[in-house]
Amino acid sequence: MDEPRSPGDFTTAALADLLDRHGSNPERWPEAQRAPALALVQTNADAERLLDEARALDAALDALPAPAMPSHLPGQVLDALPRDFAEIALDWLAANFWRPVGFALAPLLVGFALGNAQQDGTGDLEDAVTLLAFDEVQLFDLAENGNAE
Amino acid sequence: MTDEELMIRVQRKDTSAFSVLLGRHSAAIHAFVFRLTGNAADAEDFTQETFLRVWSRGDTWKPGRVKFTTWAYRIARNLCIDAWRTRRGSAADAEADVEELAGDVPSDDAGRTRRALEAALAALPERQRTALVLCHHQGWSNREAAEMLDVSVDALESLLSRARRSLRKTLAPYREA
Repeated sequence: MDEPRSPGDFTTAALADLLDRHGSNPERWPEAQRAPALALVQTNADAERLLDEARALDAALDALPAPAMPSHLPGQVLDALPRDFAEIALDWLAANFWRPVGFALAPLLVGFALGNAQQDGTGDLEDAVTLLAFDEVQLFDLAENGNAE
Repeated sequence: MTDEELMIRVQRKDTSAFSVLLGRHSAAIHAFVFRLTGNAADAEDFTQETFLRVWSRGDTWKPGRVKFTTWAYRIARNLCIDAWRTRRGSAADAEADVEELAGDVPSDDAGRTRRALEAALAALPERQRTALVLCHHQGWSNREAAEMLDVSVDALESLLSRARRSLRKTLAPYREA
């Protein structure tokens, strides 16, 4: 079949092929074919009809709805990431390790606290006695020295 | 930071890099999967699974060989194909998908056109539909879509041509009306 030819030697068959491959948006057409294709559309009724049909299809495709991605999805993906053994083990330890360690350390801590409290009391008493004794010695020395003078 | 730089970090299990990739591409992958499956639940599931595979199989992506997006879209598409294979023969599923695509379609001319177009899209062979979705809806160039489909640009354009001719034929009676 003979195709009507444009001045630039661009046929309606070539335009139909271009529209099939790239759609109706001239910005998506190969640069070398854009100007001759648009020139053909300006001068040829068949070419104009082809472009109209392609535009109608693209518009119908654009009108098809697609739901927006649910906003929770990225968070859901991050929560579902599989984690490595070390990470899982650390989490387990953080959540559970205090129990056995706590039970094991409890008597030790109680003993330490009691012992420390007792030792503090005794120390204070000993210090007081020592100071008192020192004071007595000082008083005694003072009295003796005073008498001597 | 480019997708490829982020992906190298993801290979080292960097969750913050993964989070950036997720934010950058999840909506587009979700739309892509929905356009292929026509099913909102599948779109959500397969988007999640795509990114979980990006994380767990990141070591199979080789920098410099394919772009991150090419690789991620291939994963998403393969998930859709696997689902179709699993459900093959289940006409009820296919019909349910078309019903879901249709949603609340008005019963006027525009509604009838839309319903016919959705049914024609769903009936296209998978590679034709994927080619059209990648180029028309997702805006990828023919060369990029060809890489995603792992075919030559000529083969991709042949798929696009057949898809568009088929859909135009479907729309013709509605245009004439």
